[in-house]
Amino acid sequence: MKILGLDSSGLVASVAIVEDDIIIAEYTINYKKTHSQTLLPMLDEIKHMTELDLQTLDAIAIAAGPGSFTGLRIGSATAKGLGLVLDIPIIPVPTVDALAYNLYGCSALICPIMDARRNQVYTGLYEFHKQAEDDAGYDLCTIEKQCVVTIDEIVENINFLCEKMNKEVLFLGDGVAVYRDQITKRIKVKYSFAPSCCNRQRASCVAALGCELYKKGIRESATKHAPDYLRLSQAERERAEQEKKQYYIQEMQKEDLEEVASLEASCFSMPWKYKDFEEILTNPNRVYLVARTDAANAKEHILGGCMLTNIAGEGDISNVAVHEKYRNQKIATTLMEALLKLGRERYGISAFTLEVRSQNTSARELYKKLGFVSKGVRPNFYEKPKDDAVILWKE
Amino acid sequence: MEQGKTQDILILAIESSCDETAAAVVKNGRQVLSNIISSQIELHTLYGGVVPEIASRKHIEKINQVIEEALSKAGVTLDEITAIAVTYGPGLVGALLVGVSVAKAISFAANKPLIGVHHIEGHISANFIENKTLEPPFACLVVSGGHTHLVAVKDYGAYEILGYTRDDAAGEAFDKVARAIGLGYPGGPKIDNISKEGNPDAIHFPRAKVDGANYDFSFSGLKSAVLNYLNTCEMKKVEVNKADVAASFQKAVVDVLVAHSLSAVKEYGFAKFAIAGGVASNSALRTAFEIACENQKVAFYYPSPIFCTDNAAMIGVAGYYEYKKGTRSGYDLNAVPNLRLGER
Repeated sequence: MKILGLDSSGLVASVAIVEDDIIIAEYTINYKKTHSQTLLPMLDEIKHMTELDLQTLDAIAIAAGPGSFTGLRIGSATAKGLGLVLDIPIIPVPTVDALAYNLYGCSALICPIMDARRNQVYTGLYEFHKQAEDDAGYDLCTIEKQCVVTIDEIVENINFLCEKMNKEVLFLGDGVAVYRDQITKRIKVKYSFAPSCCNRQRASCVAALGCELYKKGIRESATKHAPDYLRLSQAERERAEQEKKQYYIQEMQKEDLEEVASLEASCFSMPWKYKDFEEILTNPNRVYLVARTDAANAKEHILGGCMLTNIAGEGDISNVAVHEKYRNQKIATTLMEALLKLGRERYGISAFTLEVRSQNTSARELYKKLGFVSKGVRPNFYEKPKDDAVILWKE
Repeated sequence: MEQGKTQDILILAIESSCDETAAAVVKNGRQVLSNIISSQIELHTLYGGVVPEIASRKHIEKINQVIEEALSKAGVTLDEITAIAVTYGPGLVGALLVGVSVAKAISFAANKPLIGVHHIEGHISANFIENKTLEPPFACLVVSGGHTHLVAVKDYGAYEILGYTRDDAAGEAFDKVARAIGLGYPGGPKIDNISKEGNPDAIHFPRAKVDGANYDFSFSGLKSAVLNYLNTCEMKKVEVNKADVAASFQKAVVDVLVAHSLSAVKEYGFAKFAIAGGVASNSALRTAFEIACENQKVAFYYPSPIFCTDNAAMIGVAGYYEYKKGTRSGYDLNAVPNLRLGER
């Protein structure tokens, strides 16, 4: 199987032809010229040098993102043009995964870092696992999927994981040069930095990992292929900021019932139904708060909700839900704060309780921040999937 | 291949300089076999104008589909194509790069010559599509959201710029004024429409001249005058008649474009005059030029609206004449966002 590998996700431009377990050609430069001026001339050079017949290519493996938006598009557009003419598929290889593949077989935890500007990095965490005992190879295993975070966040995660796994960490990528000082200051476990021969994007890695992905059936048509940026454009981000500011908290109204029921259904495996919510409207000891937006272009108007039941002066909180698209925007926190305030003022409640799935770490984190503490566990309380309930109280 | 077919020159053209992803197949420079345009306008309307990063992202999603459609609609295979033409400037750099990179890869893999085309050269060449007898020399006014150029077309691919805007492009002024009077984006067609109900002589806005450069344009003063007028009305609590403001503004733009163009035509002794670019489909502009050209006994040419907007057919026409001249681009062809007409 003959694969063309392309990587133009960062400063490096790299082109390779890999046939099975042999690199026929690889051309990598790390120079200030734009990829638009280098990438195709490099492939042309390879074609001449190795008398390459393009028709013999089986697929194009490309570093599909994250990376420089423009760099990614130059690579993608090149791959799409080639794919269109040669009628071969494109294998989208996650950029950070391909970077990690540089360190094949390494026993340390691998942390590629690419500078993502705006004080963030594109990164991920990987390790190589031996395939079946009798097999001679390793599999690249993802510990933390490629993502965009601050350097402090990833280093903290490494400190935690390396200690738990009793491992060292090995860094590589163009972000190392930018964040070296910050890494050495914060890291608490054994670490090292990869040397020049294997610390940047290489198209041979993209092609070799691409070959593995291809065997697993991962490929797409040239027509369909587009980069995976991991980030919205600035204009979209700002618009989303604007939109999420434009919600307000109020008690559920009759006209909200349908959307609340569908929100509930999208969040829980055993949801409350329309009728259950309708009943709340006439129950003096129950209140359901919604986070509502009136933005004309919003597809849904109820972004989240939560319920309080007054049981003889104690507040039982349940049905805390936020629409998937609007998570990580502090909507649940805002809702909960409003609900606690309402409970105190309307019912004179001083002690609140709720149950949470033991595996729902983000929710547990939120309740902890709001001052809830664990007072016990109800084993196997939840169904679909089975899970323990942690009982939380806030006095 | 059959004997007859080998003599035809088929250009596959690609255009992605702003917010339209487009591909076309053009036969022998004048016959458009297909002209596919995927517009992103609805997407950008949300932001009140074209967002470069969003435009670039859309281009890469659509580009192959548009090219495949252009080939299949034309009923030709890539094998039959003679050369690939692509817009490489001026325009939004990220947007241009999508078309340029795809075109280069196609040219490389299919082993076909590559021709980088100037976007404005494309707009001018749009006039050759429907006016089969039009040949240089002639004068052409290119007016769009990004450009206002008065050009002497001396021969195919040979241009001299007689005048250009010193600040805003005419189309840009339309967009800004439309936003100010609450018509939204895109401003050109919206002002054109509402103006039909307004009195173009209701308000007199200034017609700017640039000192010492008779054929240059300036629209920022006019734009400010409209904004001032709106402010004054608001302060005096006078209700603004949007249709009158639009019609009066439009007339001021049209007057200047017509006056400068026709005095250049006269001075340089052209017998033919053409308009091109997105604003060339403005109905008031067309009517004014029709009348003025007739008075001056100058033949007037303009493309249909579909060839005024950004499209790839016009790039195919320009590409054909560049091909005949022997123009070829290398695999290192780059996008040049501020490419000047006549430069390579």
